Amino acid sequence: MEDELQRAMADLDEDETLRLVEERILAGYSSVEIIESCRRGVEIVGEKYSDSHYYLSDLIMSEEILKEVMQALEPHIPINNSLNGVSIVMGTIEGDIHDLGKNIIIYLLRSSGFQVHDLGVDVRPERFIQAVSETKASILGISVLLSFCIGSIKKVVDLLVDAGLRDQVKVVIGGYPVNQQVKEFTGADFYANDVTEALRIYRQILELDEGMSKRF
Amino acid sequence: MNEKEMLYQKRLERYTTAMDCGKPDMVPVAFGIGEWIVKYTGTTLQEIYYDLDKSNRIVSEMLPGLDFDIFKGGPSLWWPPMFDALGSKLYKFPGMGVDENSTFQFNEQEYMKADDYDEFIASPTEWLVNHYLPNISTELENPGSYRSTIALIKGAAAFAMQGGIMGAAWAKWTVEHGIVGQGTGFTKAPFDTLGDALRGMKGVLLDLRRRPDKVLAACDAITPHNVNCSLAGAGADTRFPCFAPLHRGAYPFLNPKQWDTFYWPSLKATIEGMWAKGKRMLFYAEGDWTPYLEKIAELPDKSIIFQIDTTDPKKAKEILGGRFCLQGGVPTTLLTYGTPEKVKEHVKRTFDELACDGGFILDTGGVVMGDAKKENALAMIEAAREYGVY
Repeated sequence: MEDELQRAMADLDEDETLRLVEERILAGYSSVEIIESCRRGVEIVGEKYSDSHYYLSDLIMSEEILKEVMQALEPHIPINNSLNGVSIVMGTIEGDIHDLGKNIIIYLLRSSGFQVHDLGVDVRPERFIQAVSETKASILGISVLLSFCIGSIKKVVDLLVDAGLRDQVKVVIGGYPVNQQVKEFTGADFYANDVTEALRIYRQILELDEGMSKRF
Repeated sequence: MNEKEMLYQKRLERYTTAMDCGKPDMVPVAFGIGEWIVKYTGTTLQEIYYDLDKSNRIVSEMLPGLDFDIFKGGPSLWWPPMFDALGSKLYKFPGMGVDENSTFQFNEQEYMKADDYDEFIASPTEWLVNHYLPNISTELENPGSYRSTIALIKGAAAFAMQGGIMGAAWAKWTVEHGIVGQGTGFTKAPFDTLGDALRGMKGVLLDLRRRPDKVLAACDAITPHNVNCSLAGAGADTRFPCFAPLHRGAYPFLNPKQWDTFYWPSLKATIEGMWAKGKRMLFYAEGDWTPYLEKIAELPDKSIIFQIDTTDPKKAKEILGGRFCLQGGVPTTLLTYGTPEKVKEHVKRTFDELACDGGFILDTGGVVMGDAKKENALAMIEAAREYGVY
């Protein structure tokens, strides 16, 4: 059966999505049901982005609409986020304050049930290590735009080794300047230049790690 | 004509021939002395940014050992004292908000709110003076106040001082080393003026769906200013192209319909407006512009130099070659992670693919940052001379 809310979300129809959310709140739908419809809509947005039907501007719009949906739901019903049990630490590396790519990937991962600990921007290598240790995360995502900050990513990987945490986490680096050479230089496990590639990598990591995910 | 003047003329000839899609005696090579120089000079980036004399002295000392044609400038892109005098919120500079050896970063915010569109569209420059300047500068928060007036005077003085210092340095480099500057003037795509400086990226991208008519009207209102800016800032010079760093038109920011509707018409109008006055644009296509090459090919012949960053170089050559000069070819990461041998191999291959029938300038794809290695930068220009003779 076609879900109007899911379709409105997938079509990035802001007014219609919010109208339907209000309608369903009044009709007594649960927050989980409403969020699930929107999440499926976001999944379609992600697929359309992978197929080059949608571009970055469309992803940003979908993020904005979902944020508004969450705001609309908040006063009515406590949100019960269903999680897939996978914890990720993510941040933009020291010296770099760019966060667009990081925010988009975090938003897509959270919509898919990941628990993402966002450390923000200009994150010192030591802070990454501390967060991985505290959260027992199995994936560490590091975002970078400015190529001269790449040295600090290498420092993160080196510190993971020193702290005995390297085997616990897969390190994914993402951003405009990363490539195979940068991956090798930093000692990261994976690299991605765009959101589609990043999502493919997270899927791959989950498949390697049996039983972690049922849904992604 | 002395030796340096002859050298200047030879290099100028190379550059202008390539700009007009012709085949000079050898492939012209463009070169900048970027922030990477700091590692080799025992200084900090903060000193280089704040002390223009020191920065220019380093450039003057390096130039005699380098053989290239087109100079893209030294490591000081901005002079922070002007921004400091205004209490500018726009940038973090080395030692002022970021580490003393970290490069500058732009602090992007919605300095113009969605409600400001109508007033901006009615009179862009008036809105900038009355609202934008107070929004971006702590010292200008109360226009007309004692503090604000003093800050404006100091800021204007700093701007003029920087212009004077840099003008004298370029004159010296030209006379003493026979170097030719890459360009004169500065402009942008109207959509980037709106998106980068005023609404911020997220703001402008959401506006595309929420208030598309306002975006179009704002881009139209900006266009004549950006045409004027390209010439006014260059003292009406038309020999050299105007630098235009292009941002949100890169793939995959905008979907194709948005690109066609919002990005391209006003940029095209800007380029055509400039070209009607004889001014060419250095179309500095940062990132990947491969999907849009066919549209770009609609421009008047020779009206731009197309910069190849991560755009597919073969497609750029196929679609734009012969009608527009192409510039680039060397990935910036190669200067950081490559070796001199790899750089040389790459330059040779680039010449085979892109330079064969002229209309090509060798350059790095994008801005070379502090992580580049000097030996790789030097290998690039050495290889250009070794393999670049037509």
